[in-house]
Amino acid sequence: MIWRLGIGQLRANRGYFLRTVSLIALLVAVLTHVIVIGATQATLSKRTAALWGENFTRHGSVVVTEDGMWSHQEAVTPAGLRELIDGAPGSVALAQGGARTVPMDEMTWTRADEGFAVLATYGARDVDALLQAGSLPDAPGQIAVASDLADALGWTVGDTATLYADVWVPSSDDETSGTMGDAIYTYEIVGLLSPTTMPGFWLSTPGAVVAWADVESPDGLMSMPSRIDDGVRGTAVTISWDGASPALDRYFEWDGGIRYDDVILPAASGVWFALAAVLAAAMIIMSFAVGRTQAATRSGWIATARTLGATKRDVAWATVAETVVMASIALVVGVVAGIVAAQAQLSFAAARSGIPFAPSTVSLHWAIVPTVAFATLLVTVAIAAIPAFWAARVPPVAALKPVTDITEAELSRRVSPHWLWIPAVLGPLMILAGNWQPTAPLDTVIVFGMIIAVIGIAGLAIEGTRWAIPTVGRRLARSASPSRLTAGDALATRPRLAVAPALIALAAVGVFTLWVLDQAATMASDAYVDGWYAYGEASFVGGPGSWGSMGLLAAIVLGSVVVQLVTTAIFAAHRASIGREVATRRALGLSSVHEERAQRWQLVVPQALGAGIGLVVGVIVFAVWRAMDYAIDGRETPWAAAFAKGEVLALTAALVLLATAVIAAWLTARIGRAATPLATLRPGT
Amino acid sequence: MHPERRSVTGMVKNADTTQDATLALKARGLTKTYGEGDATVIAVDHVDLDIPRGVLTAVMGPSGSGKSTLVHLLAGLDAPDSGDVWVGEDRITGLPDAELARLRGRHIGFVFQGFNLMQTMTARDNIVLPLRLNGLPVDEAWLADLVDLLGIGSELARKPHEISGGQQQRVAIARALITRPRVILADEPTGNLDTHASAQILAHLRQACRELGQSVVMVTHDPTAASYAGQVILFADGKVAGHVTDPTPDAVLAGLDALAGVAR
Repeated sequence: MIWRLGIGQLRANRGYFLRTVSLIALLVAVLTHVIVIGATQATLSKRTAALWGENFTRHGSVVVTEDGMWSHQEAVTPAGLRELIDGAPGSVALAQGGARTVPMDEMTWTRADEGFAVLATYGARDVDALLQAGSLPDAPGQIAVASDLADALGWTVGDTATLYADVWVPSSDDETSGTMGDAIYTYEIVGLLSPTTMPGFWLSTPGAVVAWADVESPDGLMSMPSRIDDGVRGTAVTISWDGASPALDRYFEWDGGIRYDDVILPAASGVWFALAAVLAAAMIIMSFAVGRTQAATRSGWIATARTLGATKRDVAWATVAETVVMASIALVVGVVAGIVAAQAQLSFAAARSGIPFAPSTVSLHWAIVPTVAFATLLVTVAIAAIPAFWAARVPPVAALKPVTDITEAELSRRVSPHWLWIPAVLGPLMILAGNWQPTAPLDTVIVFGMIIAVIGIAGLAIEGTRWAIPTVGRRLARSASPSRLTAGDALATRPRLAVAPALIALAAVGVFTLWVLDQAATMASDAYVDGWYAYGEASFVGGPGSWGSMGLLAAIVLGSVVVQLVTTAIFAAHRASIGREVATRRALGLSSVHEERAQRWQLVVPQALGAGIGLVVGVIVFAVWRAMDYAIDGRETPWAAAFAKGEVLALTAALVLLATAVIAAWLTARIGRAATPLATLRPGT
Repeated sequence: MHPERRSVTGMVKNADTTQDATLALKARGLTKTYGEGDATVIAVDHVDLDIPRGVLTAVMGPSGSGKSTLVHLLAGLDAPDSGDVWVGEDRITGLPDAELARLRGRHIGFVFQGFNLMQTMTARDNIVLPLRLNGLPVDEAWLADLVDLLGIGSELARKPHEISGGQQQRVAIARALITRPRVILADEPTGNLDTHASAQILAHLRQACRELGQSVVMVTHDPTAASYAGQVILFADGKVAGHVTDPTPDAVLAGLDALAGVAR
């Protein structure tokens, strides 16, 4: 019975089913994409870790000098060190230094090609896999450079590179200990390596590789004079080995190995997680908005089922069964789409960066499907529970009537703003329970006040939106234009459905504004602390045309598109529920052109209001947050400039959202133009 | 210029020399088919029809006879395959959507079986909706007259779900009359009402014709409802199969029986 009811509901609500399955599939695809890309990043990280010797169980570091080892009672020279390494099968050594392409006093700290890491290895390593052209250095004075750095600097194989490295210049007096200066080296470029960046992935490969002989040479780039023992030069060397090695164990107090951090997600994952979060939140708002509408549009079908013997519980469970079918289809489609998208991203990134050891196929793990399936089921049930609840409430007698308070009028029942008490009381209490500071009760009170203020502002924003939409609707309804008054009627008389897109826009723009201002504050603070003001400003998103700004813009557009997908789904459900009313207006003289315009107004106005309120609320909430948490004055340098930049970005996001809303409204109205006044004469339409 | 492409305001007056100024609605050679090949159904088959002004005309016929399709075509809600329709002196066949919508809004009133009121608007807002949609001012005196005539003064501030079905249909009649249309098309207006409410609604429609000079075309399958009309058009197999003037329920039934006899 329940299963057949569920299938019956599916057939009777094909439009809703297709839209909802598509949205859930999109959500699943985004989640799958994030997980698969994460697993692939882990694979890449493992290989990169092997390059740095971080895949061994034992790890030791020391500074080796030409006359003996520092930090150890037994002297070992570089040559002696090599004997030790050779004596422990499988062990490898790595030395890391840094080089600059400009002198110290010309550093701007804004260009990636001003400085880079230089690596020298001894023993079996994966360095060969990095080589793109030429050869690896095998003698002092030779160097292989990452191709992206070489491109930026105009270097190629055979060129001579002048490099600068830090050198300690002892003080000539007894008052100061000395300063850092430049040591100048000349190297022949013998090879080009993989670039140091891979779009969408974290990569940690060296900017340049020199021969191991450089490590052993006191005049090489890798060594620098001791601050302790003037004139003695030493090279920091890390040795990695597996298992016990009496020779190495005697010299090194090994630290048990360094575990590479394989839980770090790739650079783009944050964006995808944000998109998934926006989509999930928007879909839950959608379920509140269309739940009762769905119950209303299903009322005839439900009434028939109820009169034929189905109980309320049967109807509710049938709706749950329906959602299981929806979740299953969305799961299959979404997982496949997510894997395909991840593979496409990897292939594009690998092809673009030309990194030889980048994996050619994405990493799949057996846990992906169960994890995504569980998340999908949770979201789908959360989304389906509301329509199911309302569907089950429709009594058969009421549902069979052409017009009832349940099928129509309750769509716009006012929700009391008293709901604000729930988060206002529970939220702070829960947070306080975990953050109570008996030694500093004033801090706790301040935190308490801040939480109340933030919840209060958010609550006011939501209630303000719920007030603003019907108010604007009533104003539009006084217009002489048939399209505006039709849209105004819809906004004023069905605020529940009109407010949902506004709240989604409010949440998306508000959260983005908070995030972007927080980023601005953090970056500016770091810059201030480090004294790298220029660097700090530039590193926040980056300038126009940079990868950072382009990526952020792409994320804003993607997020806006996601918002439009959900908003148009709500609108479609709304239209389905008022199909007869639209047709009646058409019969009473509303032309199809005016109807199309009315739809555009109906879609864009709530989002414009929501985005505007979200922007203002984001700025205000952040001001409260900043005052409490950062304790900084936004008018002071460097924060003033950073906040201005953040606010411009937030405004840009709101405008992009509105632009996509206009496009979505135009498309939706075009597609929905097929409404015909004939529908008025069909009973039950 | 083809007359079908002219605007409503500049619409070519009927070039048909047979056009009678006393007619509210006229159709000539009206045909509408659905489906293709063996599944073709001729819903309306070369129908000629004259609906006089100030008269309640009932269109009766068995289910599937094509009477609803006929009303769709007369109202300009659907386009005929061939033939022409005039509303008053204006030929509406082939008009663009915007002009058809304007014509419907100003010159045709509708009363639906399911009332089709805006559920979230008050009765008053429902009544004046056609005026608002067509940019016409509300004639408060006319509105008051209609409200008195239909006895819905106490319902004006209420929403449809707060009043009875009969009252909702009265509101719908007021909405149809508010623009003083050339013709009102009523599709089974008593289909969702009890006997008492049906009688009242039919009386109101007849009253609108007699006292206000309104023309009404009512589709019904109820002989009692049809007996309220000034004339009954019997419709069968997509064609006009007969007329009953000064109808009584018995006369209408006799006409229907005669139709059935012909069919047998």
